Amino acid sequence: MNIARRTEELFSAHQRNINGRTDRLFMGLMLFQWLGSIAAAFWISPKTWSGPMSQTHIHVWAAVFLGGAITLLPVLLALKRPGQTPTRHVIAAGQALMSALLIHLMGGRIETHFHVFGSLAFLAFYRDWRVLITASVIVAADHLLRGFYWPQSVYGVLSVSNWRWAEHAAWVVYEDVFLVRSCLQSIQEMRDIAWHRARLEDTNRTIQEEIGRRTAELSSSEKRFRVLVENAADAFFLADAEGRFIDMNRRACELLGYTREELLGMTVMDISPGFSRAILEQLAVTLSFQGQALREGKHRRKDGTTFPTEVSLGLADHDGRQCFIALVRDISERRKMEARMQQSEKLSAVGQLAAGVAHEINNPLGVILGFSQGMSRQVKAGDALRCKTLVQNLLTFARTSQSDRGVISLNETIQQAMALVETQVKLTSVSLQVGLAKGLPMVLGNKNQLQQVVLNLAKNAIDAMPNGGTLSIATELLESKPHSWICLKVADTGTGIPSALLQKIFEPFFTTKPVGQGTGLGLSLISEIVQKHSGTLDVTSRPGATVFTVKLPVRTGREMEECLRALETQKPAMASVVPYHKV
Amino acid sequence: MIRIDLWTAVSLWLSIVCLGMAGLQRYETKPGTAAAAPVRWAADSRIAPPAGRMILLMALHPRCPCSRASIGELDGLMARARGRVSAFVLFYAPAGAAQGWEKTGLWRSAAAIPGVTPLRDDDAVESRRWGALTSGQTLLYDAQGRLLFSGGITSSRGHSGRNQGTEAVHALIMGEKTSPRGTPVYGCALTAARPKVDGGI
Repeated sequence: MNIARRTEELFSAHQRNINGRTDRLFMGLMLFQWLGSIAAAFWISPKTWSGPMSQTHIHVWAAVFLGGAITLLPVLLALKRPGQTPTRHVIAAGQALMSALLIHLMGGRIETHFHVFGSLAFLAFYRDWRVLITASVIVAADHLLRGFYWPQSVYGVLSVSNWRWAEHAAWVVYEDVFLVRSCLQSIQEMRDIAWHRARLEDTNRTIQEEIGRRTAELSSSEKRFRVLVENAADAFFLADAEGRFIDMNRRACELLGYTREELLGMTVMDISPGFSRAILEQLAVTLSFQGQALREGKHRRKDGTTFPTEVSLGLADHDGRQCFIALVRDISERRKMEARMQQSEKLSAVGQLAAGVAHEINNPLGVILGFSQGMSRQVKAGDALRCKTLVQNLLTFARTSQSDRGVISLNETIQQAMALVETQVKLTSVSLQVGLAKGLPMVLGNKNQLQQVVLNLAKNAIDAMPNGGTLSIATELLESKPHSWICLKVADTGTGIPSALLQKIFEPFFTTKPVGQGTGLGLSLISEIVQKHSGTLDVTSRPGATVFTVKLPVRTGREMEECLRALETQKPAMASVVPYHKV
Repeated sequence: MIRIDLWTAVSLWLSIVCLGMAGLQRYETKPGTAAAAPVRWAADSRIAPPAGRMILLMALHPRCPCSRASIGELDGLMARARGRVSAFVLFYAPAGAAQGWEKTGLWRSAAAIPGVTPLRDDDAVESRRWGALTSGQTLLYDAQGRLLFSGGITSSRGHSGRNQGTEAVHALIMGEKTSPRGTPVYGCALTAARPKVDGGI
């Protein structure tokens, strides 16, 4: 709206308010004056006498009826038409007439003329100078007429100058000058106030519109965000520092089988077996340094069943409080796929190993066949036993992997795998060097999976030396604070891995081998297995020297017991954040 | 229902008020019954005749509100006369009225004026002797007992202030010649019966 127009509206409203208020003031004042004049008449001249007889004095009747007549119309208009221009002019006239009546009833006492000046001051409350003019004209006319015909009633004396009315009127004008000036100033101030308020309203409206627009944008953004979150395939959780859920998406409810209301009354500990308040606090510290973390674990549904999950964690500020944001992904299917891939990779290895095995078996069998033809009893028992062991190891390796972990000897695991590695080595011109450190601590792990690590790394090393070379397999104990590690190194003197490819070799399906010779899953599976053992996998490579280093943590006896106990009860994945592998 | 235009109502209102004011004015300026005062000192009066001093007589109804102005004017006159005149104020009391009936505020005001003697006038006997029928009637006799002035010393009912009566009396006391020797009297009737008597000198 136009500010000037709004200013005029506000000014008019303010003026109407003042006029209405002043009308009510005068309504009360005039009624009070009327009653006051009646009381004064009763007090001063209650009766007129005729000898011993008396009757009500005419002043009393004048106060009642004439005063009433003067008061009637202004009061009626103040009631029926408050705030209107004619009303305040009639009130001004009535007030001036009341002054005339009072002056008359008081015998023209000069003191009563103060009523005129007081009335003008009250009329100035209207802040309308025209009202003062109306009252002043009535006063002047009263003085002029009564001063001419009955001067004693207005001046208290009989003989006065014909211009006495002008003297009285001049004093009224004198007061009017100041009152009119005051009225004009007030009007200007009212206009200024109205203008400022109109400006303020305009600014406020602009701000409101801006807020409305931004609120709509925010609402739209919030809706889009809500749609994204609610329709996400993963579960989102927002939890406070104590682990109490603050919010979650629909997928979270579906995943866990709880209603949203139920989850809002629960904590992280209620749905995460093995999770504790201490772990939560440790997690907060870790996140405050790292910013985010990825962990795997298990979650429990409402029906008590558990399922493997991958949890991406972060910290966020919500309403001034630090909160956890968790993106939980059900990895049951992935786990099954990984198991199948491991088995597939293993069978692929078996296929390749079969050639070596056939070659190994072929020679003893040829000997056995030759000698058997001569019915000779000189069979080489050692070769037959070696064949048996070889076939046994192959069967063991090909067996479907079990995820059960236990306390195992890494050296023993390596030695069992070496029987298979040796068959490969014999088919090439690669020489094998094995250096296993004695007295290594036991490790917590899956024997079958660790054998797969050794076999795959050895096989890759052999493949990297098509023209022959040396394959070295060694173990050692790396003692350091706070953790000690058992280290497995598989080194070759092959062609090496270009530095540009080092970043990619752990990615699934990445391979440099010809089609049909490699699946590209070997190193990614090794990496996965090592991570699950809380270990690290490093590689350094240059032409003629490539070393893969697997480090597995050394557990203390107590840690070992706790882990085993946990594995027995629930198997909650790892008890600490899984670090990413380093390349 | 009759709907009256605002300006008609205002005109009607102003007319009523003006008529009321005029009626009131007419009442205020309507003089009471004039006195037929004896031109010589009434020998049968209980007030002693002048003995070398002028005497001012005033008849008042003690309960007439209009007569306050008369007492006020008398006070002014006595102050200005500076002892040249003795004054007696006859306060009406109805026949058989208890003692003290007449002792109102007017009595006390009169008594407080130096040179003024208030007297109770039972049944207006003394007032009638002096021909006074309206409260505020003032008579001035010279030292020889001759009537100098008879009339009121206010310009209308209850209105004090300079007026012809006061000025005439003052002039006569001061020995000056003055034209009006009689003025209208404004006040309550001293007696219930108002015989129609022409007053004034």
